[in-house]
Amino acid sequence: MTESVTLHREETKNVKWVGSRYPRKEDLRFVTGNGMYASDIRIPGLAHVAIARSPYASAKIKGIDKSKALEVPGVVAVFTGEEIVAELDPLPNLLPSPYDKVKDYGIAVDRVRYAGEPIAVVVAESNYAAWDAVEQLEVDYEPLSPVLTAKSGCEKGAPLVHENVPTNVVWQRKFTYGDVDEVFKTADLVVSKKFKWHRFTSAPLEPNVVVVDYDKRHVIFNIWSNNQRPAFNQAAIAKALRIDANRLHFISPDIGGGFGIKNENYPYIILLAVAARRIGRPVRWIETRTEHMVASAHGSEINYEGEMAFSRDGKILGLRAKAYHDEGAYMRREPIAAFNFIRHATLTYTFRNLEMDIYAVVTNKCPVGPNRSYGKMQQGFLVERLLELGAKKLGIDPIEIRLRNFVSSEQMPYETPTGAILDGGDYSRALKKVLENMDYAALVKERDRLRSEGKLAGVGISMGMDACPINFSSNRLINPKSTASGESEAAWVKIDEDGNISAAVGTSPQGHGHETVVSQIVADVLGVHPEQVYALPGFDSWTHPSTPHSGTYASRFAIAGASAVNEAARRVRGKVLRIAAFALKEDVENLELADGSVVSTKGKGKVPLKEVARLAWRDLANLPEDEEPGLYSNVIYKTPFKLPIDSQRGNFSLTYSYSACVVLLEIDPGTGVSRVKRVGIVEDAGNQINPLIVEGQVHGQMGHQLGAALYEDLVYDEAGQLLTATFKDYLAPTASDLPSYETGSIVVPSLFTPLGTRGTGEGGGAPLIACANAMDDALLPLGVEYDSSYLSPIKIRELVKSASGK
Amino acid sequence: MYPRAFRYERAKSLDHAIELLAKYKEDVRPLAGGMSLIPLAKLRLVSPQCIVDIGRLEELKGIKEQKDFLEIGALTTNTEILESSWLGEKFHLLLDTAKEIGDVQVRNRGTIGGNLAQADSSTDWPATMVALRAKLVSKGPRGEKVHEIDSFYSDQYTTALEADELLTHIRIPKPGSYSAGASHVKLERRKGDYAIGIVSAQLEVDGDGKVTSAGIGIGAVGITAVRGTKVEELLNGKKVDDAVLASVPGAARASLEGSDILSDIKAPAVYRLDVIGTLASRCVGEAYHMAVSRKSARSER
Amino acid sequence: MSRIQAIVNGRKVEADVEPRKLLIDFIREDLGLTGPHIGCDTSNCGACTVLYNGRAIKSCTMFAVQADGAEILTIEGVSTDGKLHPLQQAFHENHALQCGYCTPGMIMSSIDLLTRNPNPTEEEIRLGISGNLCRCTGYHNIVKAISSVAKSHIFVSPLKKAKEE
Repeated sequence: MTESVTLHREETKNVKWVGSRYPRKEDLRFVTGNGMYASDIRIPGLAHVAIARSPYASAKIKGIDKSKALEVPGVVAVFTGEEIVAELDPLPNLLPSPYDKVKDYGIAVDRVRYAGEPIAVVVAESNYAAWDAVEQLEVDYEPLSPVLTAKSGCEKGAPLVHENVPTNVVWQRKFTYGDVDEVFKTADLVVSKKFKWHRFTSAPLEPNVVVVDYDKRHVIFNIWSNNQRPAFNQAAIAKALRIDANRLHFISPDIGGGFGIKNENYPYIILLAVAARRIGRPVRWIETRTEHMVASAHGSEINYEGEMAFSRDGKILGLRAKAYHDEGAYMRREPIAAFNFIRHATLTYTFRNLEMDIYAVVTNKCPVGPNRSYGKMQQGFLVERLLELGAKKLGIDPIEIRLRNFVSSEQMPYETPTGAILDGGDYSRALKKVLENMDYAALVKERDRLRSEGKLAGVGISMGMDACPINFSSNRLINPKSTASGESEAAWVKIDEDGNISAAVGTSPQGHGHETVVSQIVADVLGVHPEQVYALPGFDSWTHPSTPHSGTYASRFAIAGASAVNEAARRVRGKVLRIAAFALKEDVENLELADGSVVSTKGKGKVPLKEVARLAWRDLANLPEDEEPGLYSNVIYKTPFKLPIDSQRGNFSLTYSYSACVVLLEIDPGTGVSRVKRVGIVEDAGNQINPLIVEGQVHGQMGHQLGAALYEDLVYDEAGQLLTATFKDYLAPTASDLPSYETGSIVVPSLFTPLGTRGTGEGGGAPLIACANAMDDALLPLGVEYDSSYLSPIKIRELVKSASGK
Repeated sequence: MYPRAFRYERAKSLDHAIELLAKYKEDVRPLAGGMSLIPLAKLRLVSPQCIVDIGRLEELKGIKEQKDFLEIGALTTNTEILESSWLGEKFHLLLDTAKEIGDVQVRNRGTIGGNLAQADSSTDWPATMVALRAKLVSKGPRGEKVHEIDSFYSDQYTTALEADELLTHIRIPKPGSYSAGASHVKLERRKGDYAIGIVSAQLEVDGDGKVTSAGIGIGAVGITAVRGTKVEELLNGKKVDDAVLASVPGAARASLEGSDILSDIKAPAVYRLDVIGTLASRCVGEAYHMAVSRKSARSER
Repeated sequence: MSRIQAIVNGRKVEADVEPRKLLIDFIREDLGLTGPHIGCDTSNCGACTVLYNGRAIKSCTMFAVQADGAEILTIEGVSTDGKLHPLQQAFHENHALQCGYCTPGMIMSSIDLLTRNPNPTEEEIRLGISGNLCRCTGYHNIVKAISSVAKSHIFVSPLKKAKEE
């Protein structure tokens, strides 16, 4: 069913650090307050930037009078959008013609397209003065009527968000697999339902920060930011600035959480670069939380019209859906979320008939961008919600129906109808294990007890899948003109002349513990303790290796980053052994590397790593003739990806980690307020390099997903104003709002990665989806169904009242 | 965010504070714990020309038991109240309320007087003060005034205080017996948030379990905290059984008739009016239960 | 400008500040103590939490001028003699931090909690840190870390220590 994949597993002896719950090396600086974040950077002569933003969702800018702003004490300069854009080319997008003409500079010129869009850059001696000046800008707007939903944006005669393209539907494609019409005609049961996937955001605690210093002498932009993939973004930034990319020096120091959103601060890097060059001083912009909420990158907002066909015995026969994506005002990464269904369209199930009709619609709202589980949890929601409704209608237990539809472990590797090749796993074992961990029978009993006390209560189950990383050949299905394919990551490992070991990778982590994990991998390969490995923190484009795919996104580290480091360490190890063999007059095969020394297994002595290093760097006449000096290896790892199979199929991820989640939800019928009483999850990330860190990622997904299900909602009013623009109104949950988590895991190694690992940072949305399923279970006694990913107390209370009259 | 510039004056005494307030009367705000003023100033929603820091006025701090009432200085922090566990015997509702306020950082800085003078119905103290029938003492250039809580609030963020007057003390009448039951029930979407429904109750009962005195405050529904008049009427002289409890939601809503109702993104007016019934019956149930068990504990002694 | 004096992490500091300058900006920008962070505009996130005269407060919700004469402890002053405070050690061991941005504030609130309540229940711990948002950990391991310190009775107030010395 699938092509053969060559495995090159490392046969390292003495593996001891990979797989251990090694506490993180980076913690020390964080717990003592010594983290170095972008906002902690101090440069002499630093000026402070505040960004003036549009109060309107849609309006023409007829003029900007900056004279009063320039009079504010401490103001250095004010640049309007027009002045900034004069030095820029527009940002590229992924759309096919004519929608590639959607113009985006990261700042508005003559028209604003969402409330919060930048319109001017103000530079001053302090943040306080900069904000004083923003208030003094006089902007003459002519308000226009905004487009605020995907559906209304599709209507004939809808106002155009971008006036230079024909419609607001900037990307539309129908993907069909198998014989969908036939199975829907002949199915025993078809369930259909309209669902709303609500808009929310991962909102990292550290807002976006950019510091730019233009070095006139070397014609270099030094850029400190918390961008989570500067090497990935550098081409777009350079192109916009009309300079060569090697004139951009990026530094991403410690990053205070990213979750995808911090891919998206590159437009601000461009604005600040222009300002820095214009005033000849370093400039710093620290986004406020309000700015972050109104104008960074929101998660997807979707209206689904879904149908699922079943046989009487509960087999899923097919899925058919329309998906209307409200993309916001600019298409920066989109329509990737809209398209991402393709990575695991059928989730953990065997059905092969599928039709997805996708509409990507621009609106006058904050642009949508990467947010943890980007486009993944949404497809999971569609599949799992319809499956749940089918199970209820067929009278089949929700566990049983899943077991009947799972791809079995014997079928692995399994090619799905969209061409995804599932890389191993045991879905039924994961589900059974979470049920066992949670004592499912007791959970159901507890639900029934709550019900008998007059509460509403429901148990919900869901699977989730985290397909990663990205095979960029998938872009060819969005735009046939795309020439990208595959993905890669770079790493180097070096042992210096004194035997000190360093390693670096291009992934710019945001709290993922890469320093620790890199140290574990290198320690095992080189037979040392992780504390003897210095893994470079953060990312600096002058010291860290990188490729155009570098960064931490799409849960890719355990695949690309780990593989690159592992390979670089292996190559250094090979050289160490060769030099030691020469010195000991022993065959390489008879040498072992352990506890900091190379030892002959045949008793021909040993040579410390430090001595090998001295030979390699300092005693070159004693090296083998054909051996290059030094102990250094720079590796670019290519994730094994292929081109698409055809115009709608391909394997666009390498690993497919998955999880099974169970939730007990309690709802107060008098207020409609839900609370998660218990939640358990079992995930399979394949081999875990550091189970402590993997578990932490699972906890993090839980926090985000339960937060999104119960608390977090981005709501716009009829004028296009974001009503939940601060943490007062955007309800990021506190510790008191969330339960403790019952986590577990199973390990079925990935068939396709060198270390048997799977990417798992984002998760597949199982906790959120399980909450939605639990809500339906809770409402079952009242005979009503719920239709949104957001458990709004107001709506639930209305449902309860209308169904029960109480 | 970054506040607009202002002139800062630090009051050295109560009289000095009043003098300063009078001097900048047109555009001045007193600063106590700053838990309301500073967030508003940061968002530039409030930008007085002058801020008078009253935070160091020792004469406005502390809790004293007087003959007929408890006197709380306006600058007493929520934490100081919460940690005065001796209040539990006679003024349990104060502890119940203080415990529910914001989070530890807000309780550490926030003062009871600052909160009451801010007149935000969605916060805890106003409803509690209504339930306790508190009197609020203020001082201004024209001397001292004593306000009944029921006439202290006229609108959201609006009190009977003039710009040059300061709330100085809160006087809480002692309950007639030691057996008052109390409960402070609120609905918040997330821990520490502004509430979307508050009911605060203090009930006293006689030996037969009949209510002899009822104080009910309702917050976060009307634009000001409101007395649950109809609930008090319903309860007085009665044993609170299931039938009485079933009438509480209606009585709570009836008490709000004629009030303007808050409505925002977190909770539209209809929802607030709906859930306040549930909260009221829970609150009354809990307070009654406590009153009865305290009463019987006392009689057994 | 107003002249202020304060003791910050046991050191006397003196400075002229604009009245509107927030305490957090004074600590971060003027004193260069960048351990406390800013994560919101509305006093919700608690990333800026410091101990002010021994109690946890949000330093973004106070003007620096108000702190005249105060004793302030930031995360930088919590460990002594080059040894991690038990809470810092427990956060490390229990993987109670990922990006580390909320961590300084979390630890300061935990100090306030354990100072007042050495044996908190899980619910009390969750309430005790409810003024601090974390977006990485889902709080699970933070609660575990605080609980481990309480259970093993190794908590010592860093304030007491500072005074004794």
